Amino acid sequence: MIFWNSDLASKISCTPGEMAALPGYISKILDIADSLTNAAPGTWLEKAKMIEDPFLRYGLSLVGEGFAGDTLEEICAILLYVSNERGYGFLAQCVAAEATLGIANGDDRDTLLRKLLPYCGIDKALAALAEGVSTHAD
Amino acid sequence: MLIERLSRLYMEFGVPAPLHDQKRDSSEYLGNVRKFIVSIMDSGDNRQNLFTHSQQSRRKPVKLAYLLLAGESDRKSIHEAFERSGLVSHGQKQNRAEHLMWLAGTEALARGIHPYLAFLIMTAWFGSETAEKEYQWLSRQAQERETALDEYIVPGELTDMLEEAAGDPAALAQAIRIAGMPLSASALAGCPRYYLDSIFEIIGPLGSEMLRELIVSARQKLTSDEIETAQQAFAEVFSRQQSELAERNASGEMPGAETEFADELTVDADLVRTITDIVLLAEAKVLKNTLSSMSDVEIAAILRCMEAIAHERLLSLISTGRQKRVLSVIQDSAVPSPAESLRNAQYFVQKLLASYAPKTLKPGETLGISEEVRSLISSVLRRE
Repeated sequence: MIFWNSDLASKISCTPGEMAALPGYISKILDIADSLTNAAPGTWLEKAKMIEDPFLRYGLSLVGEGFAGDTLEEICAILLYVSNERGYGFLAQCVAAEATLGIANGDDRDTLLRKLLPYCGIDKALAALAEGVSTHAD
Repeated sequence: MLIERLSRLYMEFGVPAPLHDQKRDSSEYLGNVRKFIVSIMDSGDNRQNLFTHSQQSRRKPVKLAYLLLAGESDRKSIHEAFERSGLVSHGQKQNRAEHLMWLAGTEALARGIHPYLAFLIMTAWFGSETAEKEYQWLSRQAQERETALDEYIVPGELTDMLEEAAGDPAALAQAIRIAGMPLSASALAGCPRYYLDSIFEIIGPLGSEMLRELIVSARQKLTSDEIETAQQAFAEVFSRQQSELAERNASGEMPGAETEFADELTVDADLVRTITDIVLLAEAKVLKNTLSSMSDVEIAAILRCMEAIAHERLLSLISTGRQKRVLSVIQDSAVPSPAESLRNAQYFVQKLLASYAPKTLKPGETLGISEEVRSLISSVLRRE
């Protein structure tokens, strides 16, 4: 059960205009996930270092160290809790954290997309899923 | 669930007050955290050292953290102690974020989490930018430590699997993440140095050093039977990861493969259903024996006679190298006709029956085969 909190709700809320940028960001994350999982042995961290987004870069570096599961989730939750970002910036960090956990868990592209799409809002997510997640991702 | 965890933090601790908003320089806080983790690592199981550190510390939350860990307090007692001391109560405004960080780190260590991870949990309270810098510092520390490992071998299936895994490092890295460091270390504790060195190359320096330390600890604490049990559990996780990745690669390499299977299903849906049921119901050991007596072409042929749900089971019973060969045969071969499919299916169930029959079966003795599988096999053999 999620105990919703008004402070968290206000921190995460953003305008429909800002939300429109989220599918593009998700698509970029999926490409990063593909490139990391197909990386040559031992090159994960090198590739992760090149990620521009600092939140995602740090999360995926920890995945490259072999960390996953509950502890990684705890670290991501704390990073989000203390984040100074608000609105779209914070929402994007939530998506990055969710993606980090999914990649650590070995999720394939479709599963990852199903986890990230709800951050775009339920209507967009349902529409995209009805269209077929794979086509949407492409 | 991430968002649930985040909501709980808000519910429990209210609006966060970032550490760097406070009057003191954040490097002072970071210095305390670094010193704390190093002394925890150096103290090992020596509780007396922790008492000494507690007496020497000037800051109240640091003192309390050492004291609680020295007393081997559990998670609940740690939380209560921080609450009762007033350090993390809602009325406490000054340095509350710092106190919450110490509470989180102490709790993590009390849960048995490795000090490196406890450090990462604590530094997360400083925000992602500082946390990343501190992770790099810790990485350098880990590289400098590099725990030495002696050769220690507990014979088991895992060593053979690791030899095979050299060609599939992604599945191995994923298996380590899914199994978790403690189980991975317990399983790898009995593997030859040569394989361990190749594993350390596929994960980062921090993860490698943590794995090394946990391997040393597992060798000291576990019996060879316990290591063998861990090996079996890890081997299972690794096989699952291998087959998942192979399936994913196969679907990526073979666009239209699903359609081909779907077309075939319309040819003889009942046969496909029956073979699927047989594969799902038959014992893994018997199926494995059956597959080992079949060629790659024969396995590829039978894979075309079953629903996708059974593919994973069948593929998980063969090595990764063989999976790739089988999938490449499927890619290069034409879709069989219904008659060919039936012949392939009958050949497979005959092989399966042969695997069920022990070499020493006496006349009048029945096969150790369930009634359900027996009737499914009969129904395939009766077909014309």
